[in-house]
Amino acid sequence: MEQIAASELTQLAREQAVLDLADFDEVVRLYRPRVFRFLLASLRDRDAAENLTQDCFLKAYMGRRNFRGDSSLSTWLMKIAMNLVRDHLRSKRMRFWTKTRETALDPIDVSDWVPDGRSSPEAEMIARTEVQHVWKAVSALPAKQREVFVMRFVEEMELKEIADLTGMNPSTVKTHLYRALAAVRETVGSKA
Amino acid sequence: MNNESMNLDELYPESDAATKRDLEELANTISQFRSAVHHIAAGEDARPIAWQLEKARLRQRSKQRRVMLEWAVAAALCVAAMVPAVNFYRDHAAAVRAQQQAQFLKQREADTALLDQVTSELSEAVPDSLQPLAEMDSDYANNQATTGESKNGRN
Repeated sequence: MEQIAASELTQLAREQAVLDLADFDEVVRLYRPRVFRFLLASLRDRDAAENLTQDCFLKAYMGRRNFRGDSSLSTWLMKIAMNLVRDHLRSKRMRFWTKTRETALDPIDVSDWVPDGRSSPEAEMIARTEVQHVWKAVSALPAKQREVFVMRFVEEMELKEIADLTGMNPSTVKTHLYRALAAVRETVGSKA
Repeated sequence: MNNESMNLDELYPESDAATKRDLEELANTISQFRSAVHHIAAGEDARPIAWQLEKARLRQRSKQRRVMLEWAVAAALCVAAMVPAVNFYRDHAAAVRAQQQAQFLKQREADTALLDQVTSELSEAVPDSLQPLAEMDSDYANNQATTGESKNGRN
């Protein structure tokens, strides 16, 4: 009985997900910020993030008939975004002769967005510097570690969700996260 | 304790007080980093969906064209690079063929000479079986004649 109920629920969830996808405007409106944030933090390039966000939704739109609802819509979109990042980085490596446009986000620009509310200008300054260091440290991380770091600490995704998304073992995700954190910690600590 | 501290505690479960303080500071910094990224992303203006999809479609088409062009250029370069190699191979193959031909002709000449020699030796008339006896007889007759002449001369 319970099994039937569970399978019915799964079926309902799938139908709901497919229905959600039918209203594509709403899908874009809901998930665009998340996808864009992930791409921005992964690529550190505003234009590239903007373009890949559009590509991500175009791919989702074109492949919406293939979406079976096995995972949540958000996970599906993030998977597309993750694959786009990988393709982008690969093609960037292959196109080493092409000049990249200067739209990369400067760490100083990033630190301008540190929320206010420090007790003193000095504390605010320290906070900004630390954010710059984190940004630089994240930039220097290997692709997989950066991916996992951004998913966990920018998108606040659960380890299991990250594992599903990346196709990695949860313990491997944890290892990548641990190494990424160690690198960030070292950079922030040494610059402090 | 904020969300990041909890996340970090999962990764560093057995840490002492100093490390915990250190981690809390790191968690704080990461939290600020997240806020910064969220703020930047929120600042982006979202254009109409149809416009975005159309732009992405155009970009995809131009990317496909560029990829095709790149393959065409790569293929042309490959062909250009292969022409001298093919020419060299062809020349080399012709030289080897000519050398082999010359060697074959020389070999054939030698073979022909050998065959001729064998044929000529085989076609020589077989001597008569009484020939040695006839030769001995003629030698004896010659000796006798010579001896008779010398005796007559002395007399």
